[in-house]
Amino acid sequence: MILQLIVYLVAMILIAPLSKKFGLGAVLGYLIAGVILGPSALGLIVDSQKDAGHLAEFGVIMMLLMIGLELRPRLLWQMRGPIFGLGGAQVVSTAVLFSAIAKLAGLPWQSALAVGMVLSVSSTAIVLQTLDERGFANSEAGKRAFAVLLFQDMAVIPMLALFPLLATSLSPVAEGALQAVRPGWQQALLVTGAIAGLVISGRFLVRPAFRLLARMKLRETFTAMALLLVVGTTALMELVGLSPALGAFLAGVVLADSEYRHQIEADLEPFKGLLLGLFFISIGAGIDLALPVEKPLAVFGGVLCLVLMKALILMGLGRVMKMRSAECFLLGVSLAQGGEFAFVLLAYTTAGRLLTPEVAQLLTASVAISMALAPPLIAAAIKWGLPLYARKGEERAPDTIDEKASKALVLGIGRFGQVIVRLLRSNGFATTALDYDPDQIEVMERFGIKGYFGDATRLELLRAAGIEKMRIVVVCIDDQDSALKIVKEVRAEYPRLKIFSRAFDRVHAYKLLHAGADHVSIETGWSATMLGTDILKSLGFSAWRAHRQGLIFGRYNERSVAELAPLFNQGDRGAFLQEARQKIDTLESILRAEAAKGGVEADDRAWASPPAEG
Amino acid sequence: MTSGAAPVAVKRVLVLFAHPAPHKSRVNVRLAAAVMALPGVTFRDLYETYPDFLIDVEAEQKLLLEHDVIVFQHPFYWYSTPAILKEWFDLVLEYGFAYGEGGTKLAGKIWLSALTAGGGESSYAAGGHNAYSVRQLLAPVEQTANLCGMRFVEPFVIYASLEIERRQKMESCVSAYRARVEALRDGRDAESRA
Repeated sequence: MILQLIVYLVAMILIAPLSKKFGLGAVLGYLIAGVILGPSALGLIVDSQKDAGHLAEFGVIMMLLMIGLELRPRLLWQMRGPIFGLGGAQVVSTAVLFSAIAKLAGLPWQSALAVGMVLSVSSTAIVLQTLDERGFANSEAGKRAFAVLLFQDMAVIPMLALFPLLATSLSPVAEGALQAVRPGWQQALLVTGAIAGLVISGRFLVRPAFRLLARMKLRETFTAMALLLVVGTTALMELVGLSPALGAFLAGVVLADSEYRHQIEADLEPFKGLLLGLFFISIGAGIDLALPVEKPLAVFGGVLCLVLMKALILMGLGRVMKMRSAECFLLGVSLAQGGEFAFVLLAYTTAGRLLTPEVAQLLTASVAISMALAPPLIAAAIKWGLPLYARKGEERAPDTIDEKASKALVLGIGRFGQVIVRLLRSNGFATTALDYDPDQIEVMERFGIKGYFGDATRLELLRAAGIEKMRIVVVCIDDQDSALKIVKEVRAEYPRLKIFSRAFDRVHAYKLLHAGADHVSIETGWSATMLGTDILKSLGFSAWRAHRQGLIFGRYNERSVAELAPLFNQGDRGAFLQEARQKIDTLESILRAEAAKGGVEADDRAWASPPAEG
Repeated sequence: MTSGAAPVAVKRVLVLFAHPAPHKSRVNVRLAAAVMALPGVTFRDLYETYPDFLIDVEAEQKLLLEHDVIVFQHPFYWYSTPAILKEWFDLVLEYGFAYGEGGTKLAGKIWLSALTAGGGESSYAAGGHNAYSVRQLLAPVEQTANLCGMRFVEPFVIYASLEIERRQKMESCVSAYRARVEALRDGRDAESRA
């Protein structure tokens, strides 16, 4: 058992960086690792189902919980056309087509339907990442692809629920113990009760519990609570004979608009990653390497059929939706592969004896190969395919940049951060805000500013909050050392992001600039200058003069911070102190000169009328 | 309109004062002080009110509606107005308010430019140091008034303002300005009734 665990863990550690390097994506990497370690090659993994079965399933369950968490009703509503129109049409027509082919190949209708559904989904991870890398994520085709993938993610839920029914109708064997003995109406009541219980407790039990834990700042307990949510939901769903994945998805949806969403995601992310890795390795181990050798026609014919049919269907649907032909082409090629959900669905079919192991094997291999081909295919379509359309006089449709999408991640919405959030918001820029104080979040929410709970010093939380899609990170937290840590880590991880940071004082500002902040503002600098300006006014300066003096002072102050920072950070304290002293002297002399101008009108340079003759 | 002898209704006067450095001003602040407290005169210091240049357009338009004579009092910087007054023109004299379709709100009001210039009167002439007369140099301002349907009356100009040394001379300038503003207020200004 321990030995097997070592094999799995070593495989993950070796594979993830390798597949990232070759641009394959983690899913394919794990599949390949599984194949290599599995019985048909090295034989290090003997019985993947026994080793990893239940644990790996939790990976899938967590993935669905996260899909639920990511579903925002507003986004769904905004994109309802492409999601439900195009996405719905794609899933239904693809499923029907492949079901028909499977039926013609001699499968019973239940199995044929399962094959159709398995092949209807594409790979969210591969498609979005590839389009993003090539700069087509915001293109017309990219947006449509995203909508279709979103619909597929949601469509998996009813499919998972449907599979057990298909299986029982195919081979009526009593399966879930509870399910079999109860009459139909009782079962229906139980299911409704369980779902209602899930939704109600999600709102009125889970959220307050998260709030309590957040307030007490017990990090591990928060993680434990998130895990309990997953396991508890699974147990409840199994008890009433429903798919745990469906339950987890529902739990996710219930919590999607809660302020704890990002923190839950961040806490579960490593577990999900590990367990999904386990899941895909065990799928890979199940692939029989002999298959493509024995039946090359079936496997490669299957891949060809899969890619071609899916591409053609989407191109056709794109035409119907009146997209330009270049965009249709890219959309079709982008989504022409099987997806990771195919493996999930397949795992459920064999357990339910819906498909024979041979058919499942064939499908697994075809889907895996089509996924491996997807990145180079998309790249080729962009490189060689699109220029053909361009020559025909079709230009790329302008990207639609979603102004509403948040571009700035604000860490800390206390006294400082809330000013920034409000200023950006009143100018039409949405922000994503994080804070570690649940009470603060509540107060802001009362005024319509949505913040999320979370510990901003954790990079995985920033990832959950979508830092990869941001242009700007604003560090507004109180704690000086945490701010430094965040700036350092974010700079190392995301070199192209612009980092703005609040600084406690000059020394903190120097350190922040050294850590990689692009712009810092000393929290008291300008507010003290403003108050000073008011004082100058009450001492008899005209408002405009006081205002200018304040601005000159403040700007000089800011510049001297930027100029002195390198000296300070070189560590030569002597040189630094001397320079700082000199700066203060310079400032004094500049201001003295400014003030002195008021007294001598004859040789004043500012605001004089054009001189008289001579 | 009215004949010279008939009594004329008192007009309300708005003085818009624009000087970025009143602490350096010698003549302009004294002129301001002379009209500030006159009955029927509203005095508004633009640099003092808007040190950040964020002009409250609605407040300014409301003031314009409440007055019949608008005096723009400022130093004649680079043959033009100080920066804030240009900003004020650009923002306050809106389409649909001051000009363009429905922009008749200022029609019939009187526009007086009251300037202090560094050069002597003789320099503001063809062949002189400043080559043009003040009235010529003020063409953009005059046309602004025209476009708004306002009556641009002969500008009040203090020449060689840097050289006014004698107290007596200063006082005669100040009283001339006060008299001009009072005349406009009382409808006695010859030019404004023309």
